[in-house]
Amino acid sequence: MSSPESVRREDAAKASPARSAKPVSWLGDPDRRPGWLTDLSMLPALVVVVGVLSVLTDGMLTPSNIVNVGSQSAVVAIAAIGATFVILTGGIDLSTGSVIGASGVSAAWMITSTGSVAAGVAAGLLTGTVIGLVVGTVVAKMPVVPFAVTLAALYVVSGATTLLSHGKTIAPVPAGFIEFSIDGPGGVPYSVWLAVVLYAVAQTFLTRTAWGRRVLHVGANAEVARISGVHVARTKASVYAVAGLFSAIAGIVLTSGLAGAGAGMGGPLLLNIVGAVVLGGTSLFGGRGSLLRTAVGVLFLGFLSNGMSLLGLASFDQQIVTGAVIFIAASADGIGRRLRRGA
Amino acid sequence: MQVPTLVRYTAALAASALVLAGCGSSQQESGSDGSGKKVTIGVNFDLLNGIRQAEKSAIEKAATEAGYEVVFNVADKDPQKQSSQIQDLVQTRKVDALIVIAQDGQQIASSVSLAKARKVPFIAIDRAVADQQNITFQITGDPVADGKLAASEFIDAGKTKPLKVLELVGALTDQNAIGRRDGFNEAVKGDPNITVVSQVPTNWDPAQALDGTSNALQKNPDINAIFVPSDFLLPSVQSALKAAGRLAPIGDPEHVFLVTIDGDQNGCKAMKDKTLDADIATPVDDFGKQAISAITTALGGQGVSPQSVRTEGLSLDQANFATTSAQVWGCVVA
Amino acid sequence: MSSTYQWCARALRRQPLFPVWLVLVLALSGLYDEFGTGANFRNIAIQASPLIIAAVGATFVIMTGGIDLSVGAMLFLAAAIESSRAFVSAPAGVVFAAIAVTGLLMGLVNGVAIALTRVPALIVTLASMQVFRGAGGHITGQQNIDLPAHLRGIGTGSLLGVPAPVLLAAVTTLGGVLVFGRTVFGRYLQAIGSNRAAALNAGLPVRAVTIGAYALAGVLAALASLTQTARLGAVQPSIGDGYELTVITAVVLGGTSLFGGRGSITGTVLGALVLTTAQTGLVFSGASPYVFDIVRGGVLLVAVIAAGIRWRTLAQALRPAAAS
Repeated sequence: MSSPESVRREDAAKASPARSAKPVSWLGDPDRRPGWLTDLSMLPALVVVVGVLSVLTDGMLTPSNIVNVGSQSAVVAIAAIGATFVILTGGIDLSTGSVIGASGVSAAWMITSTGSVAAGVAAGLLTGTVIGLVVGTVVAKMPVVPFAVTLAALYVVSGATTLLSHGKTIAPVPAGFIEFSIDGPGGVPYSVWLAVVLYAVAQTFLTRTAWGRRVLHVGANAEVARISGVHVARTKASVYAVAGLFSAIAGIVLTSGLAGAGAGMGGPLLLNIVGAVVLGGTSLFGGRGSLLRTAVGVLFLGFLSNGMSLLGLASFDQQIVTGAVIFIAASADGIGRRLRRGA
Repeated sequence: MQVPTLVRYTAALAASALVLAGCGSSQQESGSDGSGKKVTIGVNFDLLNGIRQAEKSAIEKAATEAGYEVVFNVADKDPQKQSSQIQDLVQTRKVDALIVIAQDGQQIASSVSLAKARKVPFIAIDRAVADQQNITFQITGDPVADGKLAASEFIDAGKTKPLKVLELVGALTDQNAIGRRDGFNEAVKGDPNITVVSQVPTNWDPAQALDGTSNALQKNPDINAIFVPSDFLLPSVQSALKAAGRLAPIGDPEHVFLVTIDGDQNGCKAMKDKTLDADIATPVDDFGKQAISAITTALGGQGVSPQSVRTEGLSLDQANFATTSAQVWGCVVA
Repeated sequence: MSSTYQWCARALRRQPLFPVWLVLVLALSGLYDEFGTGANFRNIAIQASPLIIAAVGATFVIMTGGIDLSVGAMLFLAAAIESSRAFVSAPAGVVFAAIAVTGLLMGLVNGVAIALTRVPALIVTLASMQVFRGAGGHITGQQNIDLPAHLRGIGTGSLLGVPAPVLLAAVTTLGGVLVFGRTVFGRYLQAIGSNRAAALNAGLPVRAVTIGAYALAGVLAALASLTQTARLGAVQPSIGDGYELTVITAVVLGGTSLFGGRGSITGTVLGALVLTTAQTGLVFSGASPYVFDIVRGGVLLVAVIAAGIRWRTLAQALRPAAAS
C-alpha cells in the first residue's frame, strides 16, 4: 500500500481500456452484485469462524457474551470509521493510536481539573480534530506519502502526550462517565449504541452526500477526480480531520472504559484498526469499500479475539492464528479481484 | 462473478479450519474443562517474561495444592485487551476468582468494579492497584523498600571505597520503576561516600539500557558502581562494561560494583559467578501462596485480613549467599 | 578548485543528509566535551550497527515500492532460534548459518506471499509479523535467555581494532552498495520500483526480483538480530518490539522514496547514523527519553517534506515525457 500511486498507475496501464470504459464504483458496476451484498462478502467467513468457536467454547453465543464482544470492540469500531475514510482515498493513518491516547489524556485531564465531563469531551474532540487537520493538511498540500507523514505524527503525538502527562495515567474520572461503557438501554452499553449510530451516520455520509462521493472518487482515481472538478487536496485533508475526530471519540470512549487515560493506551490498537478495515474488504488502493465492510471486519476480529481468550489459548498461539487469518482473508480478496479483472 | 464468491467462501472455510486446528491443540492443554465442580481461577497478566513465568508457576503450584484449576491469559501490555479478557473470564468463563497483574494500576479500575459487582474475589499481585477499597486482597513487592535495600548495599560498600554511581531507571510510566528509583535516591542522599553521577532512563528496554550505559561510561569514566533496577537489564550492563573494557570480577580493583533487583535465574547465576555483588530478590513464591490462600478465605465467605500486603525483597549478597540463596526463586528454579 | 566545488555540490545534491549529520555531530561536540572523542564515535558506530544492517535490507524492499512491517518480529524469531537449546554449545559458525537460513525462510515467506498473491505488502507483513512473533514466543516460552559466551563475542569482540558489529555493518553496507549499483538484480529492483507495469512489459522477472528483495531483507534482519542480541548478551520477549518503524524511519530519512524506485544504500546508512547520533546526544543532554520520539518524528517530517519538494519539481519536469 505504501505505493498507492505507483500501483494505481500500474493498474491503469494494465487494464486501461477496460477500466476507463467502466464507470467508477460509486456509480454501480453493472457486472457486480448490489452494493450491500458485495459489502457483506466477509460475512460468511465471520459466520463460520463464530460457528466454529462457539462449538469449541462454552457460552460464546450467549446474549451477555455477544454484548461483551460489542463493548470490547466499540473503541476499535469507532476509530475504524475514520480509518476507512482515509483508506478509501488510498491513504493510511498510522497516527490513529497515538491520537486516541492524546485525545483521551486531554479529555481526562480536563475532566479531572474542571470536573465537567462536557468540557472534557470537548477538549478531547478538539485535540483529535486539530491533530487530524494538521496531518491532513500536510498530506494534502505536500508531495509526501501518507505513510511517512502519519508515522512522523505517531512519534510526535505519542512523545508529546507522554511528556505532557509525565507518563502518568490520568484518573479518577466520575462514575457517570465510566457508566457510559458499562451500562445502557437494554443492558447494552451506551458505547455500543454510539458505535452503531456512528456507523449508520458515516455510511449515509459516504453513500448519500457529495463529500462521500468525492472521497470515493479521489480514491478511485485522483487524476480523473481532479479533471472532473473535485478539489482533491481539500478532500484528502478533510478525510484525515474526520479520522482525527473519530480517533478522538474512540479515545474518549476508551477513557470511559478504562476509568482513566494514559498516553500509551491507544498504541496497541493501531493494528486492529487497520486490520479490521482491510479484512472487511476495503481496498488499500482506495476507491473501493464501505463502512458496512469495516463493521464486519471489526466483528470478525472481535469474535476471534474473544473466542481465543475464552479458549484460554496461549498469547503466542493467538498471535499466530490472528496473523494467519488476516492473511487468508486478505488473499481471498486479492485473488478475487484479480480473477474478476482477468475475466 | 461467481468465482470471487467461491474464493471467498473457500477462504472462510480455510480460515475456520485453521482456527479449529489452533483450538484443537489448546483444548488438550486446558484439560478437563467443566468436569466436576472444581474451583476455577482466572489469572490475567500484563505480559509474559522471565519473572512473570516464575509468578505464573508459583500461582499454578499453589493452586494445584489447593485443588483449584487455573485459566491463564496475557494482555500483551494492552490495557484495553486486559479489561476485555477479564470481562470474558468473569462473565462468560464464569471463573470463581481472579488473580491479576495490572498493566496499569489506575486503568484496572473498571475490571475491579466488574468483579465486585459479580461478587468474584479480585486479587492483585505484583503491581499495586489504585482502587484499594474494592479489591479482595493485594500482595505486591515494596519497590521503595527494595530501592532502599539496594541502596544499603551501596552504602556498605562505600565505607571501604567511595562510589560514583550510575543509576539506571526503568520505565517512567511504571510505579514499580519509580518506587525503586525514589527509594534508592532517598536512602543514598546525604551519604558522603555515594555520589549519583548519572541517571539513565531505560524504558525497561535492554537495548536502551545497553546504549545508555555505554554513553554514561563514556561521559563519566570515573563511574565505579551501577544500580540496575531489574535483573533482566544485567546482561546489557555487563555487555556495556565489557565493550568499555571495564568488566572485571569481584575482587579485582577494577571491578564495577553492581546491585540488581528481582533475583531471577540469571541474577543468581551472576551471583554464583562472582560478577554481581548483590541482588534484592522479589518473594515470588509468597505472591502465589498468599494469593491462593486469600482466595480460599474469600470463597469461604470471609474477609481477607490484612487486605493489602507489601513484601520487602530479600537482600542476597556475596556475604550471605551460602545461607540465603535457597530462599531466592531464581536460585531454586535453576 | 572549481572541480572540487562541483564535486561537493554534486555530492550534496545526492546526499543532502550528510551535512545535516555533520552539523549535528559538530554541534553536539561543541556542547559536550566528551561527545567529540574517538571512543564516543566508536560507541555511536557500534550502536548504529544493527539498525544499519536491518535498514539496508529494508531499503531493498522499499525500493520495489513494498514495505516490511515484520522486521521487528523477524528480529525476535531469529533471536529465539539463536537462543534455543539446540545451539547452546554449537560453534558460532553453525549458529550463524542457522540464523541466516531462518532469515532467508522468513523473507521467502513474505516475498512469495507478496509476489504470488498480490495482497498488499503492508497486510502480508502485518500478518507475518504476528506469526513470526508468535512462533518466537513458542520457541523461547517467553523466557529471558542468556546467550553463551562465544556468541556474546560477536557483540563485544573486535578485529584489528574494529568492533565486530561495526565490521558486520560495514560489510553489509559494502555488499548492499555493490548489489544495488553493480548487479542486474539491483538495476531490476530500481526498474520495478519506478514503474512496475513497464518492468513487466519489458519482460523483467518481476516476481523473482520481488521475492529476492524480501529474502535479502529477511537475511539481513536475522543478521541484525544476531548483532543486537550478541551485544545485549541475552534474548528477551521484548526484542524488536516496534523496531520496524525505526528501520523505516532510517530508510525514509536516507531519502529512499516510499513510492519505490528512488533511493540509496548510503542514504539509509546516514539515516541510521543521524537517528543514533540524535539519541546519543539526547542522553548527553539528560533530556527525557520521550523527547527523542518528538525529535525523530520532527526530523522525519522535515526530511520527507524536503525530499518531496524536490520530487515534485522532478515529477513536473518529467510529466510531459511520461505522458507521451
